This record gives sequence, structure tokens and C-alpha cells, in this order.
Amino acid sequence: MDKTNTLKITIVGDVAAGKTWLWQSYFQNRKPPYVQTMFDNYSTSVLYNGQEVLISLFEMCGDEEYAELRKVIYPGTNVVILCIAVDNPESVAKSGNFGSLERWSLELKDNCKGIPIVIVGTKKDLRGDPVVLRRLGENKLKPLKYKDIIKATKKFKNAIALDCSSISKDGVQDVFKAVVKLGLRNKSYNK
Amino acid sequence: MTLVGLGLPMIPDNNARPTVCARSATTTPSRPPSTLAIRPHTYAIGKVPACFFELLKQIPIAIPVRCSDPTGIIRLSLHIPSSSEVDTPEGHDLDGDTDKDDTLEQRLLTNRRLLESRIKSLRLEIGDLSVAENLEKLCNHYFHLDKNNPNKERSDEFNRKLDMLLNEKCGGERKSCHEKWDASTSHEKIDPIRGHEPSKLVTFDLNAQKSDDDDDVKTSRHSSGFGLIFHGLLSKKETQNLLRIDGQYLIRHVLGEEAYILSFRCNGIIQNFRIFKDSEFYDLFYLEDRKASYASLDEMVNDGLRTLFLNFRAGSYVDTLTELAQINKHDSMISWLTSSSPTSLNSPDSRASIYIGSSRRPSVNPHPNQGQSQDEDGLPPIETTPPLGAEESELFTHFFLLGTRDLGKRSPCDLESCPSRSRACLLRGGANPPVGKETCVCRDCGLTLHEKCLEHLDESKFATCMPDLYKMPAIFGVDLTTVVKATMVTSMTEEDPVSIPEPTPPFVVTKCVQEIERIGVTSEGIYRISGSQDAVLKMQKLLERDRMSADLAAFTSNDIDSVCALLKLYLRLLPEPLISRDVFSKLMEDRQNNILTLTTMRQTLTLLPPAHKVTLRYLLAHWDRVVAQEDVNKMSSHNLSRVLVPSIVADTMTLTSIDMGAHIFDMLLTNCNTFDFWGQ
Repeated sequence: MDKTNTLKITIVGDVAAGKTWLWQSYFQNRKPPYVQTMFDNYSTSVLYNGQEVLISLFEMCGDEEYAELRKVIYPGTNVVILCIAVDNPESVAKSGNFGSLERWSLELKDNCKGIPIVIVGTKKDLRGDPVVLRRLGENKLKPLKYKDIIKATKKFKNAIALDCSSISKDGVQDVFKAVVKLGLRNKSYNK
Repeated sequence: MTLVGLGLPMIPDNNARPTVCARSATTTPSRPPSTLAIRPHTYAIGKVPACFFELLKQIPIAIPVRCSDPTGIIRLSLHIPSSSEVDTPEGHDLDGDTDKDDTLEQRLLTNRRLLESRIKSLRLEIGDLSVAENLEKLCNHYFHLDKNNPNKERSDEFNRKLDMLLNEKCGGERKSCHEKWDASTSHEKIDPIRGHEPSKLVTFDLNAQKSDDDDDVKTSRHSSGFGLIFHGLLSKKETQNLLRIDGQYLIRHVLGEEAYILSFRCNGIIQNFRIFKDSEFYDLFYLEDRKASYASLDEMVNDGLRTLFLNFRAGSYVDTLTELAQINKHDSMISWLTSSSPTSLNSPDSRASIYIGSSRRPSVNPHPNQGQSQDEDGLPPIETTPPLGAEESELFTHFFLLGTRDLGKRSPCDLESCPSRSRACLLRGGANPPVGKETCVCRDCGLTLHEKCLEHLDESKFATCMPDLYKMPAIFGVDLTTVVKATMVTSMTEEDPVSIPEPTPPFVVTKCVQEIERIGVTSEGIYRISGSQDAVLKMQKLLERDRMSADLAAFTSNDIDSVCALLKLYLRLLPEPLISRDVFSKLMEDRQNNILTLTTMRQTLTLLPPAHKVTLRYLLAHWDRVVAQEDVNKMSSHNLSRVLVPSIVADTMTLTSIDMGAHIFDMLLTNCNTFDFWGQ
């Protein structure tokens, strides 16, 4: 196989944002248990425009404590997937610096310069969930809309916004299509 | 007390030097007079200006008196007669000189012989033969030229050689500044060498001293730097002969020593100090300990005399004071005072004192009970003492770090009976304090003591370590033991001042846990979902400000994730993690060797400091309650351990160590309910 068709994809995002769900539901067609992932690695091949692309996924725990450890997996990345849970609007907090999005933008700026970022709003199906709405309503918050995720891309240089639901598999394919497309483009630029 | 710079009076008064300057200035108008003046700095400290040798020829009566060189420094002293002796005024023509020409050659011959013999003896004295040889060659040249009434070319050659020689010795730093120097001088007058016998110098010197003291003081002030008071190689006996009056001082050299020695007489005793100069610029002087630097030698001697005088007069007074304070002066094995139970409790059983042979040991030990475990003196190890009693007594002991702060005048010893607190000692300016300068500071309560005052700590009111929670500069990022102590002390004084309180976990932990359990541990992803950074920071500030009286409940608005994040943050910020580094590394080792069982784990956990033990126990009980609700909150022990491991164990981690740490903690968490980790 041609070497150029190998992509390294790094998945980051807040804790319990649905990072593991995103790829496991698509590639392995299974629902992962509620377990904190430390580090996971998966590689598979997909067909894109008639050519075979080998992608290797790297997933790393999104805990603040692991920031040092996370630096290890960034080098050589072609695309970064940043997951934002729709039912966790605090991550795009209005009070500026304390939102986790800010943290991610700093971390990615440091470690992945010039690498395309796909910001994915996960758990899209929870937007209308009454339980979530009630929980957020207590703090006068609302689930994130697609508009908010597009707004979030402004904090990054090279980012696109998408949203999906891993349970209903709504939009997951689009996410990975975009990821492979951006990855291949990034690779050809770097050549 | 007079300060008299006792220089060998090569320049008996100030008039001599100007004549030299003037004379050389007249012979070579191209050179500014200032450079021609003999600068005591330049040649006495080892940089012989090449023009110096020219000056030798120029000055009517100039003789190298002393050539000493232990360290590659060429030192030549000059004798310049006072103006009364020199009857040739400046700008005089050569008539007066030529009159004495017939005697000149004889003089030169005797001169040369004397000098040669001197150089030979010098060669015996000094190990560095090359210098002596060079000097010999130089002198040969010198006299050769003198004899044959040299023409200009030869003297130029001589100049060049001289330059080379000196460059070799003194480094390239000194430029050949004398190149334009016109050396063709036919009117040298050299006196027979005299004065390298110390006795002659002494008599001469003393006469000068007696004749006009005031003048001498002036000259000594003028000659700042080593210049005139530098005496080259001098033995102690010679020094003793030289220094006859209190307050006289001189600088000398001793074979085999790099430093110069300042000797001065005070109270009839000659004191010797090794002095150092600022290596580059020779502007500052300081003694060996580098405590203070002085701009000039006079200043240094002044200061020294003052302190010595004070010591002489006030010494006995201070000594009696010291005796009164019953300070043991002899430096014996330092007792590292650890224990004493609170004053309210007088049972001797709950005391455990640790003695450590070397005074440096305590500062190495990160934890008091590690100190115990390392104890080699055959004292009862921690395992044999009842665990609770040991914990309590240890929590009331000081933890001293040695030599952490320099006890100067600013922060005196806290002990009330310390002699350094007496007024007399403070008056003396803190010089030579009767107690050692070594200090120790308690890490927990900030008690500052002299090392030797430690022995008297038992009787003082500071015997128990009682840090004040509200006086501590911070809570987050402070050692766990300190906070536990402070929490204990505060609760003790607030609630029941008499009884000994149970060691409690730090108030941050208890407050957080109470709050979490109030909101409910059933929340999904408790401890896993990151809280709002904003709320965490606010709560942290609240705790730092209000300490024990802080009311978290009003602040949290049922945001359980933020409280969990706060607890995790507190644990993460601990300088020594909850499961301390050495305990964790031992657990890891056991696991790698596949011998990690519950029993070995319990053994290892006993090594934890008591404060850590108490806190870990409390938190494990709480986390067990969290895991019990696994069905609702989805946090199994496996999950929880992975979430908590980075906050609980050491901060430097790799993937494998995280995995292993999570496994170990998982094991601890699963079994904390069924297995007694804390029993014997």
C-alpha cells in the first residue's frame, strides 16, 4: 500500500464527551461501557474516493491531570478531532478563560500547529432530552446548538464544525469523511 | 585607639613621590606624569609595570629591596629618599650626577653582588625557579647596561626583553605601555642594596613612627590598596617585631599560601586574617567568610578593631550572661527534638524522641516518620509503639529543617531563654554570637531556633508544635501534615481545650466530602466529569480566605462536579502526594515482582506519615460509599481509580505507571471495606 495513504488521527476532548463512543460506534459497531479510557489505539482502512486509506486512531484521556501525558501522542498527527458534548455547555463557558474549550485551544496551539481540527458536537440527540434540559435549566443553561459549535471554531485557526450522535449514528459518517478529506489534504500540503 | 598604617617607609612622606613624578616627567615629556607615578596598586599586587624598571634607573636612589614571588608575582619594593635627602631638584642638569660617576661603578658592582646573592637565596626560598631565573637575567641585563653606558638601541632591546619577560609572568593584560619610553638615561644612581634585612627596616620604620605619627596616618590613608603596607614574604616572628603598637597593621605573604595575610596588633596580640580581594578589579576586600566587603583596607581594619575591642570589653559580660542562660556550648551530638506531647498531657509514654547522629540528617528526611524508620541508634522503631499513640505524639512534634534560614539580626531565635535575645548581644552587632549560627526552622509552625537552643526546647512554651491555621500563608499546596496539625490544634482550642483530639483529616478534605455526600453520591460520572474551572477557583479562594469557617454549601449550588474537582485539585497540589512517593514506589516494586498482596500492602502503608494515613483512611471510606452506588453513578472502582490516580500518587508519570497505579488503587479501593489495612 502506498505510504501516503496512512493517516494519524488524534481524538481529544473533555472527559465523558463521547470520544470513545464516536469511533467505536462507527468502526466497531458497539456501545462501549461507561469506563474511563486512559489511552486507546485503533487502526483500520477506509475507502475514500475509490482509494484505500489506512487510518490509525489515537485516543487519550481528556482529564486535566493528563495534560503532560497527552503531549506524547500529538507528534505526527494529521487531523485532530475535538469532541464537545452538546449537553455540557459549560465547556464553551461565557466567562472566557475558564472554559475547557480555551484550554483545548491553548493545548492544540502548542502541540498541533497547522494541523486541521474537526470540532464535533457529540450527543446531538440529547438536545431535546427532557432530563438534560431540566438539569441544565437549573443552572439557566441550554444545550449547545450547531451555531455555538461553529462559534467555537473561531478559537482555532484551522477548524471546521460538525455535530453528530453516536447512538443514532447520525452524522458520524460525515465526521469521518471530513476527517479523511482534511487529513489527506494536510498530508499533500506537507509533502 | 589609633589606626596607623605601618608601611615600610619606602616613601617616608608625601614629598618623595612628587619628586619622582616630576623627574620622570621632565625626562620624558611625551608621557603624562600620572602614569609615571608609582602606583602602589599596580605593582604591589603583582602587575609590575614595565616602566617600573625604567624608574629604577631614573630615580637617584632606588633599590629593589625585596623580591618575593611565591605565586608568580614579582614584587619589588622601592626605597625613595625623602626630599631632604635628594638634593637634585627636578629639571636639574646632569652636572650634579656626573660628579658622582666615579663612585657609581663601584656601587654598581657591590650592588650586583648583593643582588645576585639575594636572588640565589631567593631561588632556594621559592619553588618556582623560573621566576628567579628570569629575575636574575633581568638584573644581569640591568647591570650590564649600567656598566657599559648603553646606547639607545641596546636599551630598546632590553626593554623588549623585559616586556616579554613580564608579559610571560603578568599575562598580556598589561600592554607594553612603556614603548615610547626613552630609556637612554646615563645618570642612574643606585644605592647599595640595603634593607632586605628586616631589622634595619624595623628601626627605620619605628623612628619614622615616633617622629611624626600624624604624617604617617596621612600616608597610610593616601596609600589605599595594598601599596605600601604590603611587605612581601614575612614570617610571623618578623611581623611580631614590626608591629609594636596597638593598631598597626601590615599585609604580608606566607610561602605556600595564595591569600594575603593581614596582621594587626590589638590589645597586645597580633591577629592574622587571610584577606581576599575581588579577583578582577581589586576594589573590595573581604575576609574568608565573605560576610562583609570593604572598600579599603583601612575600613576593614577599622571595623575589625571595633569588633575586637567590643569583644575584648564586652566578652566577659556576655559570657556570664551565657552561663546564666545555661547554654551548653560544646558541640555534641545534636538532639533532634521531636516529641513532646501537648503540655496538658503529661504521660511520658506518649513521648518519643528521636536522636540523629549527624546534624545534617533531618533536613534530608522528607518526613518525620521516615526519619524514624531510618533510625540506626537502636531506638524503638515505629512498629513497636502503639499506632495511635505514635500518631498523636508525632503530630505534636516539631519537624525541623536545619540551616534553612540564616538567623541574622532580623529574625532572632524564638526561644525565650536564648542568649542571643539579650541586649548585650544585640548591642555587639551580632558579631560572634555565643550560640551557633546554625539554625533550624519548623516546617509546620515556623518556629525558628538556633541549633543549640534545641536542647532547651523541652522546657519552653514552644515544646508542642501548634501551627495556627489562621496564620498560615496558604492552604492549597501546603504539606498535608502541617494542615492536619493546624486543623487539630484549631479544633482542640475551639471545642475542648483539655482532651487530646483525634487526628482529623485536613478541613479542606472534610468540607469537600461532607458537601459531596450532602448533594449525593448518586450523580452520574461523579469525580469523572470535570467541573467548572470558574467555580473551582472561587471555592478555592473562599477556603483560603475563611479557612475553617468557610461555608461551601452556599457556594456550590449543588454543582457536585466542581466540588469533586476542588477535592482533586487539593490532593493534586500537595507537595507530597497522598500516597507518598516512596510508599508508592514500593507498592509498584511489589507489583512488578508479583508479590503484592493485601498483607504486603498493609505493611507498606504503615510507612505513610500519620497525617497521610488519617486522610487516606477517611477518603477511602468516602470513596467506598461512592462505589457502592455504582449502579446509579456508573463509577465502578475501576473507573474511580483511573480518575483519581493522577491526584493521589506521584506527579511524574508514564502510561505504565498510571496503569499500575490505577490497578493498585483499585485493589485498595475494592478491599478497604473488607480488609483492615490499618490494624497491626
